[in-house]
Amino acid sequence: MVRRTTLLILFFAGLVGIMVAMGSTVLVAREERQRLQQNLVELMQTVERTASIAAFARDEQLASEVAQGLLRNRAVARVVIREGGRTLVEHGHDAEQRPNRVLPVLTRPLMSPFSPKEQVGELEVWPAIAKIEQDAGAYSRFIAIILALQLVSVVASVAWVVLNVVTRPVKKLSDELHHLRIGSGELIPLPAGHGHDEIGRLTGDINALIARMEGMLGAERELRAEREESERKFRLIFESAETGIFTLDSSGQLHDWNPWMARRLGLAPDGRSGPRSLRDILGDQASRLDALMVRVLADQRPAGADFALTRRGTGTLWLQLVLNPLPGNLMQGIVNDVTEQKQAEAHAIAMAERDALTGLLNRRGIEHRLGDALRALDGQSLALMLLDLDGFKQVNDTLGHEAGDRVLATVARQLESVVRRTDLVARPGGDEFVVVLQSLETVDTARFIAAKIVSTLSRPIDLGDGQRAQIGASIGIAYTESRQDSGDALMRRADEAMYEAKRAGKSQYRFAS
Amino acid sequence: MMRYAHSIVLLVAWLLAGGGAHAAGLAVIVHASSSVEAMTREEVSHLFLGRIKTLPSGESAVVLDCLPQRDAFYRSLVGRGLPEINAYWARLRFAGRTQPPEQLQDGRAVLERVASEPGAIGYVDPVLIDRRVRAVLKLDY
Repeated sequence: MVRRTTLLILFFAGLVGIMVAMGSTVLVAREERQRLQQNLVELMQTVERTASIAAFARDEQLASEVAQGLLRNRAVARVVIREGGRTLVEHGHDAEQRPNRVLPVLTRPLMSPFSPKEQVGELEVWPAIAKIEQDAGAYSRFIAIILALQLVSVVASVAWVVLNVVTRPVKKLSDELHHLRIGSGELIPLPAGHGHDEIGRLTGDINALIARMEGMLGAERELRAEREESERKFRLIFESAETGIFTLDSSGQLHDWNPWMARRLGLAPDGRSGPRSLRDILGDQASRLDALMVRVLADQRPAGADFALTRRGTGTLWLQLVLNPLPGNLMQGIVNDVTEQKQAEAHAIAMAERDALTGLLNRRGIEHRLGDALRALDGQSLALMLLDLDGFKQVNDTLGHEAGDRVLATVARQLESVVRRTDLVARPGGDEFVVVLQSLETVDTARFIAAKIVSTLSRPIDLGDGQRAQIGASIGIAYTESRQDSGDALMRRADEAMYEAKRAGKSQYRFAS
Repeated sequence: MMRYAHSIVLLVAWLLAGGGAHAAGLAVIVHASSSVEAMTREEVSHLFLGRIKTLPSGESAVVLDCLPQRDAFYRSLVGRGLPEINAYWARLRFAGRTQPPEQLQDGRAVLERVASEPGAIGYVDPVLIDRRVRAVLKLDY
């Protein structure tokens, strides 16, 4: 760049120099010719008086003297002095070049020295064209050389100035900038002596720019650190959460999941091993997942559902899944292990359906289970027995509540021992019991069981301490093969049959009609 | 009457004394034997300034200056003073071939030369003219 700048300056200066020299040569030559011609005119004026005298006195010698004097000038080629009609003197050589329009023969009338109106002769001077041209040429060449020298010195000065004042500092600046490491806090040193010029200002501006860039870099770095920190926090939350966190697409494919989820569902540690189908994991509950996803995506609002996963060895795993819609048909999900709650809940429900004294189902329990049993009927039949103890009030009154309770407990064990494990035994309240026989092939089985219960309960019960209680049982049986029957209706029918049995003399059973 | 007579006497005496003649001018004279009867001012001036060197009659001229009247003569003839005339001659004398008129001390000497030498020409106070010379031009001043 330094060299190019210098070469450019030299080139243009040279170009201008040549043009100026050419122009000046022509101009100077013309000037010089005019000057020489003017010189000749002045020369003639100088000798005019003497020439006039020579012409007036017709003195060839004086005229010759004048002519010699004139010829001593290089610019004069030939002098003729005429007096009247004749030539007084004619000196000089025939001009090697005829006078032309540019340099004509100069003629001056010679007047009488005593009467200025009387012409006595004329002075004729032929310019020495070759010499004048030569002189003019030499002069213009000289001028051209002077101009060239001046130009060369000016160009050299300009080049030097440009090189030292502009180009070098700019190059130095450029080099500094090239090797500058942004972010290191380095600045460009101000070039010496350029404090108050454009280069100084440029340096200042570049430094300001660098400072601003570093400020921005610093801010960016802080921002990144902050972002990394918050990302780290979020990652920590994500990874250490005792909750499953995942993303799910609309086809039920898991994309990302956290370690908790991986541990619980036996997935790869993170989502990088490729998507896994949540539908496959849920197995036969996949259709419920589909319904949940449809609801979430259609309503664009979170929804949840519980799923039970059967695992080998550890029993059922209950998962509570909450899906949250994301843009692009994606869902973000949270899954919690609710197995314990489910178990506790189930336990509570079981407790609520049991009779504390006998451990049998209570009224609520039998109503619940009866409903299930009715719904489960499939070509088989079901028998509902309503059982009322005979003589229990007497036991209670004579032997006390404690003895009564013991009787009730004993009856419960006896009933359980008579029926199959799959059959239901309940104590809805007081001295009333219910037995539900499921999956019956024939009504005879019901009859047989009823007879067995009546005979079993008619035997005295040993209460310890030498006390015995004698009770009996009256049984009403409602028998059905239809799943359309309601539990209440069956109960009512069994109740009527049971009162019929009581009226018929107790310790016997009756089938509802 | 006496007073007028006295005045007339004075005037005549002045005229006789030649004062009027002195003021009247100069006469250019040639030898009486010359065939030249009269000359113009131009002919006389060309002769005295060296432009021509012969008399109109053809004989070569001997031109004579009269020192006391030189200034008056050239002033009357060409309207130039002596410094100019001298400068003119100085150039011719220095570089040329043309010679200036021979200079004589007074009119009487001029008269004697003209009277004695045919071809001579000079100028004198007209009162000096006698039969030996002929005036060819009269100059007033």
